[in-house]
Amino acid sequence: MVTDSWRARYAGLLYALLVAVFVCALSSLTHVLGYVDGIAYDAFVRHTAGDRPVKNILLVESDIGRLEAGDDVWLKMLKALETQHVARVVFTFMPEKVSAAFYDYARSRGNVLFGRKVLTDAVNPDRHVLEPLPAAAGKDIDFGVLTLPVSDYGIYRRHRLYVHVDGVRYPVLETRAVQISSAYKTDWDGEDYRINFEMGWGQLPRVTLDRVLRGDLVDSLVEGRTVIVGYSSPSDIPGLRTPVSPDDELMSLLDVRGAALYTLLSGRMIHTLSWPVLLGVLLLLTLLSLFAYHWLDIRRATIAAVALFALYMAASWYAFAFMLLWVPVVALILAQVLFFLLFYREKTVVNEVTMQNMLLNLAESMKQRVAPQSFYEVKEHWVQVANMLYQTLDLERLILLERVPGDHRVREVQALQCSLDDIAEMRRDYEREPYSTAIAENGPVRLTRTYLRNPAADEEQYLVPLVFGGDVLGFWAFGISREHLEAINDFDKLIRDFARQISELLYHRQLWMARQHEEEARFSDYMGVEGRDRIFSEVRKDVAMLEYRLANLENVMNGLSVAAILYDLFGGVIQVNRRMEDLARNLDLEPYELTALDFIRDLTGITHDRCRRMFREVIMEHGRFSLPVRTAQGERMYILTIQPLYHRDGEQFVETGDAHPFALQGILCELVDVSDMRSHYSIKDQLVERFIFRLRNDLQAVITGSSLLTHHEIDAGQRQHVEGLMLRKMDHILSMFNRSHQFMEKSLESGTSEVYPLDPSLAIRQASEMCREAAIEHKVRIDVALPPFVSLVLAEPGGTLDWVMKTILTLLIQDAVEHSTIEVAVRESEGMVVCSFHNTGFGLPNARLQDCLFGTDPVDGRIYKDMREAILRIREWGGEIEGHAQVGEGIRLILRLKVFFHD
Amino acid sequence: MTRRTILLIEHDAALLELMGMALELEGFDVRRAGDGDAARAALAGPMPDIVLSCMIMPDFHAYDLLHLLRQEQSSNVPVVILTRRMTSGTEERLKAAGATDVLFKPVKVPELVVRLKQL
Repeated sequence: MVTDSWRARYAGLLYALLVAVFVCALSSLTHVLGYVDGIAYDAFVRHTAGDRPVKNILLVESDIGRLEAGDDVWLKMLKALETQHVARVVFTFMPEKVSAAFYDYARSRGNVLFGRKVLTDAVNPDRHVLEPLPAAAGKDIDFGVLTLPVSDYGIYRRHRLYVHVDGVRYPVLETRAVQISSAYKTDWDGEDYRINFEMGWGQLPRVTLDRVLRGDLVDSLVEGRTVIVGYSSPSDIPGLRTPVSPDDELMSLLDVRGAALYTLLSGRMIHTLSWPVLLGVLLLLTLLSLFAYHWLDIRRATIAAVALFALYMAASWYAFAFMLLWVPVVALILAQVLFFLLFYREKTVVNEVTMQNMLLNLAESMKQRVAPQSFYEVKEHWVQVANMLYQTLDLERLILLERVPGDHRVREVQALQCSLDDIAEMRRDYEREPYSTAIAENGPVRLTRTYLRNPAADEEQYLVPLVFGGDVLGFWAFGISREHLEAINDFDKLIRDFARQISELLYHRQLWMARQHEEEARFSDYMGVEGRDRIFSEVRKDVAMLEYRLANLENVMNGLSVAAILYDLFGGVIQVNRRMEDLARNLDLEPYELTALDFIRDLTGITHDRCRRMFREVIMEHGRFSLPVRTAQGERMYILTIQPLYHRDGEQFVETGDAHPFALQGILCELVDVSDMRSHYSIKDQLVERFIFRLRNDLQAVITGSSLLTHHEIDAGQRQHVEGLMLRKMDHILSMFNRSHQFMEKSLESGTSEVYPLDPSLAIRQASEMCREAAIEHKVRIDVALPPFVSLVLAEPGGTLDWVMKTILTLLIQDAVEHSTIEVAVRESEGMVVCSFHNTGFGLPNARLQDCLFGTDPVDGRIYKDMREAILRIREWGGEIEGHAQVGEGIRLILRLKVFFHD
Repeated sequence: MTRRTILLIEHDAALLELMGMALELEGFDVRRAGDGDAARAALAGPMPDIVLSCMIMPDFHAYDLLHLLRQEQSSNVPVVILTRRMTSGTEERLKAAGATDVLFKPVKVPELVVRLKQL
C-alpha cells in the first residue's frame, strides 16, 4: 500500500526526470538522434538562408590548370589585391612554381596565408605529415592546415577549428585566417563549429582569377574583404553536400571554405545547446507537461501535445534565425512524446487499479447485502434442499456435488438414498465424461451408462451441471423412475429451474467458505497466475447474482396484485409494474409519457393546485396521501396511495418544518383495487339500511301498540289483541336483528360460496347492462319491470347473482327473434322473490329444454353449460328455477330466490 | 260531530291493524287497504276525507297514489305520506307530486293525530 501511495504521488515527477535525462543523454552524449536532428537542422538552414549579403568574403576562382602558374599570375594577383586594400588573402594551396619573391612579398604583407595539406608519410603510412613547404616559401611562411569539414551522415555542416598532425595541434586554414588579425574573437569553445550558410546557395561573391589579373575589380569588391583563392573543380573532390545544397547538387570546397571563413569572420557561429542547458530545458518542458496533463484527459492532452510540437518548432526557428542558437527540436519532441506515453500509461494503470478496487468494494458490499451469512453452509439447509427435491420430483435418489476449489474434481455436498461411493465413475473428474457432456449441454443430460450403481429396473439417471455466473460450480445427479418422469410436465424446464436455484445456493455456500479461508487463500493467490482474472471472475459472478436478484425483484413488482408506479423526485417515471400498465391502458392513460402530477391529476380528477400541494408535502414533509379513484364507468373503485420511499439509511423521519428532499429515493404510487371490498361493504351497508328500513315499520307498530295499550277506551279484548300484535312485532325485530347480525359478522371473500342478503333488483339491472351489447347485436330489447320495493334475497355475493341473471338473459337473447322484447318481471310471493324472464323467440321443444337445463347428459353450447352451473348455484342458495319453452314462441324462465326477511 | 274518514294504506298487516285501531279510538273512521289493488278499489268508491299511506309497498308506490288522485281523479283530498326513508328532497318531491304532509316513521300516535286533525 505504501508503494502504491508513493507511486501515485511521485510517478509523474519521476517520469519527468527520467525522460529529461534519457533524452538529453540520447541527444547530447550519444548523438543517436543526430541523423534526425540533422534533417531538422538542414530544413531550418534551407528555410532561413538567402537574402543576406556577404561583405567580408570574396572568392577568387581559378581553374586547376593555373596551379602551375608562376609569379606572373600569383604575384600579380597578390599585388593587385593588396593595391585594393584587401584584408587578407587566403590561398587554399601552396603555389609551387612561384619564386621566393612571391613568398617574400606575401610574408611582408603579413596578411597572406597559405593552405597546407595533410599527407600520409611515405615511410610510415600510419603517420601523417604536413605537405612540405616549397623551397621558395622559406620556413616562417604563415599557413593553415587544409582539411575537409566534418561530415555528419554525408552532410557537411561543421568545420574544424584545429587539427592534430603528427602530435602537433595546428589551426585549420580558416581558423588561421581569422587568427592573423587581432580584431576578431578567437577564443572559441570546442574543436569544431557549425558553418553558417545563411548566405544561401551560390551567394558568396566570387570573381575569376582572370578578372583579378585584368584589374577589372571595383575597390568595394575587394577592400576590407578576405579573399580566398582556390579552384572550384579539383578532380579529387567534386563537391560537398551541405544543408543549403539543393537536391543532389554539391557545393564546391571553395564555397564551403568561404562559408566557413565567413562564419568565423562575422562571428555568426551557430551555437548548440550544451547538454546541461538542454537537460534543463527538457526538465522544464516535462514538468510543465506534468502539470498540464493532470488537468487534461487523453484526448485533450493529445491535442495539447501536438500544439506543443508546433510551439517547439516555432521556438527553435526563432532561436535559430535570430539568436543563431540551434535547439535540438527533435529531442524536445521526443521528450514530449515519451513523457506523454509514460504519463498516460501510468494514469491508465492507476485508473485500472482504482476501477478494480471499486469493483471489488462494490462486489463486497453487494455480497454483504444479498448473500446471507453462513446459512448456506449449514448442513441442515442442504438436507432440506435435498429432501425438497426428492419429494417434489419423486426421485429415487439424488446427490449434489460441488467442484473442489483449485481442482477439477467434485465432492459431495449432500446425498439422499445414495452416497459418493455409489458413483460408478470413480475419477469424478469434471473434465471427463459424463460431466463434460453435461457442461456442453448446459442442462440435464440423460445418462445412458450407469452413473449411480445398482439402478432399479425402470430407473433413469440424469446429470445436471450447476452453473452460476458462467462458472461450473458443481453437479446434481439423480435417479427417477420412468413413471414419475412421465408424470412431470415440461421436465426439462423444471429441472433447469431447480438447477438455477441450486447453483445460486451453491455459489453462496462457496462464497461463505472462501471467506472463512480468506487468509490462506490470499497466499495461494500469489502462487497461481489468475491474478486480475480472478477479480473479474468474482465480479462477474457477483453481477450475475445481482442480476438474478434484480430479475426476481422485477418479477415480484410485476406480480404484485396492486398497480404500482415509482417516480423520481422530479416526477419522472422510474418503474411501472405490469398491473399498472394494464390498468393505465384500460383508463386510456400513458404512464410513461405523463409526469407524476399529470398522472395523478388525470387519475383522480383533483385540481392541479391540490396535486402540487400534495406533492410538495410528500417531498418536503414526507407525507402520505390516499385518494379515491373510480373508473369512468364506475364499475371499479381504487384507492391511490402516494408515499415517499426513503434511502435505507434515511429512515429517520424528518421533523415537521425541516426539508430533506434528498433523503428520498422516489415517490411510490399504488392503486389498490377496493372494488370487491367496497362492494362487500356496500352489501353490508345495504343490509343495515334494509334492517333499519324494516325496523322503522316494526317500531311504528310497537309505538302505536304502546299508545293503544295506554288508551283509556281500549277494552280487554282489544288489549290482548294489541299485545299479541306487539309481541309478534318484537319477535320479528329480534329475528331480523339476529339474522342481520349473523350476516354482518361474515367476511365476504370472493370465491366462497356462502350466501348473503343481496338486492335482486340491482343484480337484474347489472345483468341487463352486461347483456346490452349482445341485445343490440341481436336486435332485441330488454324490458325490466321492477316493483317499488324488492326484498333482499339470499345468494352468493361477488357478482355471482349478477352472473346467474346474465346467463338467463343471454339464453333468452340467443333464442329471441329480432326486434322482439325480453320481459323481466319481479314480484314477491310466499317468502320468495320471483323473477320471471320471458322472450319471443324461436323456442325449442320443452322436453329438450328440460333436458338441457336439468339433464345429466353432456350438452352442446356454452350457454347450456353455464345454465347448468347457474342452476346448481341457485339450488345451493335455497332457490328454485323452472323453465318452459315452446317451438315458435320462445322460452320462459322463472327464478325463485329465498327472501332474507319479510317486510 | 261527524267523524272524518281516513283511508289507511299499509302493506304491513299488523301495523295496518294497530294504526287502524289507534285512529279509530282517536275519533276517525278508518278504511283499510293492505295493497295497491285494495287502495285503488277504495279510491274508486266514495272519497275519504284524508288518505294516510305508507310510502313504498310491494306493488304500490306513494307516487302512484298521488298520480291517481291528483292527475286521474283530480281530487284534492289531503294525502299524508308515512315514509321509512327520508333522504334529501324526499319531502319536497312528495309535496310537489301532491302530498299534503310527509311524516317519518316511527311517528308517535298523538303527533300523528294532531297532524291529521289540522288537515
